[in-house]
Amino acid sequence: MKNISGYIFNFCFLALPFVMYAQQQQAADTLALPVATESYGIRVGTDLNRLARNFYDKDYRGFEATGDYRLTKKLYAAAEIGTEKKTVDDAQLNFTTSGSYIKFGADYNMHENWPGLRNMIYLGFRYSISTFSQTLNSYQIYDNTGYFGETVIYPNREYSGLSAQWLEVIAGVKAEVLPNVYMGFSLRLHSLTSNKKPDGFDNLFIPGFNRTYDGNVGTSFNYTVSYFIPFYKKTQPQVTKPK
Amino acid sequence: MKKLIVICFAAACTGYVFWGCEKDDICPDETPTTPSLVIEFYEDGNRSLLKNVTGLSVRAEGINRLVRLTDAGDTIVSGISTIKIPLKTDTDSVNYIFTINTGNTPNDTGDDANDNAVTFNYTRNEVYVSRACGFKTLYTLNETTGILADTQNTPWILETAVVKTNIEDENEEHIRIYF
Repeated sequence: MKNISGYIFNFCFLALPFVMYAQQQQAADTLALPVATESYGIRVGTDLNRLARNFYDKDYRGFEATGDYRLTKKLYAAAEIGTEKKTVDDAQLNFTTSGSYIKFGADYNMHENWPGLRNMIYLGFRYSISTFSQTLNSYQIYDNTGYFGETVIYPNREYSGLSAQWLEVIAGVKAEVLPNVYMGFSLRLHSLTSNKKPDGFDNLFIPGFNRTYDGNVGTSFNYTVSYFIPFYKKTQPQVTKPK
Repeated sequence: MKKLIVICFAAACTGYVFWGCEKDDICPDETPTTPSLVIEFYEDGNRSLLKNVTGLSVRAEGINRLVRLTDAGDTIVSGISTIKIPLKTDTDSVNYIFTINTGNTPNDTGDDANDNAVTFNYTRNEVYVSRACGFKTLYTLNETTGILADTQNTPWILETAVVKTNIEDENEEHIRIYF
């Protein structure tokens, strides 16, 4: 190399592989899938089923607040708290039950979300406790001879300090319909574990449990709208799958 | 696969609910509800001997229909010695007219018709049965005035006795009438 231009030219030739290597490295990085981040936080909502019932059922007053908190990618701690007042007018009895309840447990998301989606199809359980009071408004004496007319008694008897506890298993769905706004429903099966009945009557309706049957089993349904408040994000490295 | 598990679980739960819940909206016939008074008729001359009635009908004061005295629903009975009549659920006493040798229709007194007024006195207790049946009334006959048969105008009922004061079922006799 007799002149400087030759020197520069040769230098460029030598440098080129390094430059090309650097380019390739950058290209390799952009080809890898981006690392996914999952939001963690608290979701608070309300049961629309119970809320709507206040308007179409004149014998019902109630409200339920729901909440869940994400523990891991699939596991959520969940709770509901509510209050209900219902008057039941059956053929032989008319009574009013009034009280509140709390349920706490966990939900497990069975659904594998595509990146960016945050929906749930879940199974869960709750342990529930309710305290309530009842007023027996009126009853009819059951007489199968039918010889004398019907006798209806208005005792206006009040039973207070009643309580019940039960276990629930749940199957449900939650979908993100707007950013951070979720709608979902759940089907629940209840099994009473303790039931403090009043003297001379029965617990025919328990707040949070709905109507009771001859056994210990009951069911309910819940349709919720909730809002997600994010606290922090966690990165979940995605496995790159070769095409 | 996971969605299949959830669906199967929900189906199993629904199945369990319908299997585990008993239909309790109808009061079953076998459930003991408000009991009727069981009366047995005996021979006045020989007090341990059951005596069959002839053409017996019973009507409450103020009601136009006859009481159905047997499980079969007969209102005029012959050849039996046990009948069941209801007590009132809203008052503590009831007045009946017991007629022997009744004709074929309630108002036909027949040739040897004989009416006897009888009053029953008792106390009531309402007891819860179930959601479908509501409440029933159980009775306790008064010791001395449980049954008062009218003794004027040649009554055909000669003597009465309270055998069981607690009326809780229809399995045993509560009252004896001697004639």
